[in-house]
Amino acid sequence: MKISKKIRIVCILTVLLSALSIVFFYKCGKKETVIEFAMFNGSNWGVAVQESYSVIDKAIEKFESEHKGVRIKYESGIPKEDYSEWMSERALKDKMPDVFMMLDEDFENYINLGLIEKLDRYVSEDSDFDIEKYYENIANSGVFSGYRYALPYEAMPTLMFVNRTLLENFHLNIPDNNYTFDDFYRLCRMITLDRDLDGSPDYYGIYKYDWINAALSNDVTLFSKDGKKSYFNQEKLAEAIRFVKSLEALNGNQNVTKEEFDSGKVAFSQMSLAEYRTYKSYPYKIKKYTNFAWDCIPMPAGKSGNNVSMIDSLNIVISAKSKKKRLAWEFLKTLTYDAEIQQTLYNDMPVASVLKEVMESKESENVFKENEDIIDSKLICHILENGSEKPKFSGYEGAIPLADSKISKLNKEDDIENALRILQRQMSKYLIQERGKT
Amino acid sequence: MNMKSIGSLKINTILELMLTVAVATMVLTSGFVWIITERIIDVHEAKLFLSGAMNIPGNTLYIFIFTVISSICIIVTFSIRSYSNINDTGIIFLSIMIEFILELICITLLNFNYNGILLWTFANALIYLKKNKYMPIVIVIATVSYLCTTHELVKLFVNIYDISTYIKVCSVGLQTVIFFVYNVLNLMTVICFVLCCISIIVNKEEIIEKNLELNKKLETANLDLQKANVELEKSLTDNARLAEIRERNRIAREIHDTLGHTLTGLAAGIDACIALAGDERTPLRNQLDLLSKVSRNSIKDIRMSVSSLRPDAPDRLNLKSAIEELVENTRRVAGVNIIFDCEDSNLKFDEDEEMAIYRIIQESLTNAIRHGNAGNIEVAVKKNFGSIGLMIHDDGIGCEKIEAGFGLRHIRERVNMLKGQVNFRSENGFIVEAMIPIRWGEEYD
Repeated sequence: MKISKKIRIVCILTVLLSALSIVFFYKCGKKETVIEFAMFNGSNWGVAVQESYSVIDKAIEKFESEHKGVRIKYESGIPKEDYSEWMSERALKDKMPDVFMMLDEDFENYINLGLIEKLDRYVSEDSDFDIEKYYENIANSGVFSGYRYALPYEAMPTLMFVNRTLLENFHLNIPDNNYTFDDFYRLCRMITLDRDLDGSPDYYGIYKYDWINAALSNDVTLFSKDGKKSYFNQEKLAEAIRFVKSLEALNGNQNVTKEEFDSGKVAFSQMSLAEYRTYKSYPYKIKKYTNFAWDCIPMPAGKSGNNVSMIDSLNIVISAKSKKKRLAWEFLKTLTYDAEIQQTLYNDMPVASVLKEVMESKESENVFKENEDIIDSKLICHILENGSEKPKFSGYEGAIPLADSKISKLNKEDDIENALRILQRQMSKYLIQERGKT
Repeated sequence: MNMKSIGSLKINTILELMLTVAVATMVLTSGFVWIITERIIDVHEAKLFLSGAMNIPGNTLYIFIFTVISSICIIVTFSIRSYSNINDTGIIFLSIMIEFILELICITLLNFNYNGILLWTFANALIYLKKNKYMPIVIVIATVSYLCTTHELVKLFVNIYDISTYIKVCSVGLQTVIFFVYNVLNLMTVICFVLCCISIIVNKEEIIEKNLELNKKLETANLDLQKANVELEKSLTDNARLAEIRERNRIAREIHDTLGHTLTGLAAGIDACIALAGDERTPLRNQLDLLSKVSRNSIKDIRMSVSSLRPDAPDRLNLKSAIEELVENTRRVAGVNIIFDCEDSNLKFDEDEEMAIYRIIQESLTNAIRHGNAGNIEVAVKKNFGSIGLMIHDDGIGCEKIEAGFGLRHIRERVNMLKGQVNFRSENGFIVEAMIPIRWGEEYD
């Protein structure tokens, strides 16, 4: 009885072991490991791009040649508007891609749901990797409540569009790269002089210059990093708002339309690097802003601030449920940390690279050379180094319209300080409500 | 036996009901989450759903399949336990452990939205591990694991999804129905568990009552047995005493019939010889006279022996008169002064007691004369409450060291047989003191 029991146990063990070994060999025999990547079609920055997958394809090619037996798979043709829903469905199906582009609107929610892998361990363990090589502010956009969840792929600074033809017509010089609020106000006042004396200005100084950028240029931080606190009740913000309001007042308090801007009646406007690079290059070069010469310069600096602006970034993350996290990390590095890929990205796409060495490289100097531009890589470097990253907490997209609706109602003469005190209270309440949701 | 089987049948029915409820809730919950997830994906509301979600469970289809398989496993182990009469605690323990682990996995996969299935296993553990000394450990594990899997508690420490977020996806009318079903199933599990516990308690009480009854029966049986044992012992000693008496009578008869007869014949022969020898005081005649005297003394001795051998000797008389006769005879024969002191005229005891008293006095008198060379002997018999006290005091030489010869040993044996006490000491002669307990109820007038 005892012996037969032993034999039975041995039999069961043998069967189990052989089954395990079959599975093991089958796994090993499978030569190809597949890493799934997800991105959306087109640009994150609201501009048209010709070949949105060209840089990714190059990165994949490079990665696959460096890692034999690993294949990168991605689904193409997901529009940006559908991307969030598509990703949510994948999350619900528990079929998250290993590496994917992260939209700001979902970032915090995905972190709270535990869908995104923390990268701190990889960053500290990988001796080939140095986080210092990124622009600090941009790299920090992937940090949330003390942990790093994402690495930046593209950076997007905001610039100031300038209608050179208009300025030349009025014999005004294009401002220096370190011009201030006062310089800027003076220029706008010159442009908005009512020359035909019909009571309203013939040309406009500014179109679409929001108080947020003015605030940033005046060294204002609106929200804490985790989105739990807001700092609206400060003098520097009041100054910035007063500046924006005085600019708007110069326009005769008229709403400047897009048509007026397109037809060259406006001297300045806020413009992203993406728009700048798209409309400055073929084929949009011959489609838009063709009846005047234009350029981009940095933002004006406030009394307390610098010629900086808000820098948005597109981040890439690793799924927390990925089964090949090491390879995913390697691929993430290829996308965001590989100088060659980032250089290609900077050359071919209307974006800025997130790596200092790429922005400062020789090759980068040629990016703007072709069109006698004011702006060059060095200037963008300066903006990237000093700009503030766009907050990525989930309440941000709701907080800005709330503040906007209050601030847009204000006039130059109003008690802005008091309005900001009220706004600060409302904002605190809103942020607490937002916290309560998650 | 019949009662017990009815009791366990009841528990089994409750367990089956409980298992059905618990497994159904588990499968329904996981199935519901799976169906709702599919629906959310179908109507492309995933983003909206995720913005209000606390956690997403993973692959809901796999979880559903795992839950179904675990449920089947649990049903199978339960069936094995309840229908095949396995009495091996090890196997029962193992099956419960497997269930427990499967349940913990299922509960975790369901994000702690239903942990009632644990109650089912605890009910099983309570029933099957009734006599186990590890019961406190089981209770501690049960309490801790139940607490640690309660949704409201886990929610405080870990992000877990709430089934209500899934229910809220449904239309309002359906929501009410689903909430109702979900809560009813949850409550049903608890009710079943309580029922189970109650029936266990009832069952245990029945067993305790039965045990008490049996104990009582056992006690009475034990008492009866003790009584019987005492009676048996008594009859045994009675038998032995009877046998002894019979034997003594026989020996006495033998001595009387043979030796007595011969001696009587011999004495008569000697008397005839004396008659033949005439009145002349010849040496022959003197010798014959001496012989005749010796033989007559012998006859007297034999008579005395026979009468003392016959235990019924005092029996025929009253004990007191028998002692008086003994005392008188001894006084006459040995020529010593004997004072017999007995206040009670009515000395009437059990046969063996009377015999013992008689023998002790006889033996003591013989000793006093033979070894002590006593001139005066005092014999006192005193009847106390429940016992009788004897004291034989002589003024003989006594002895410094009391060497228990046959006589004293004999006395001691007799007294011990009657559970009495005897004491010998040398003080102005020799003193024998004995105390013999009297058996009540047998004293009669």
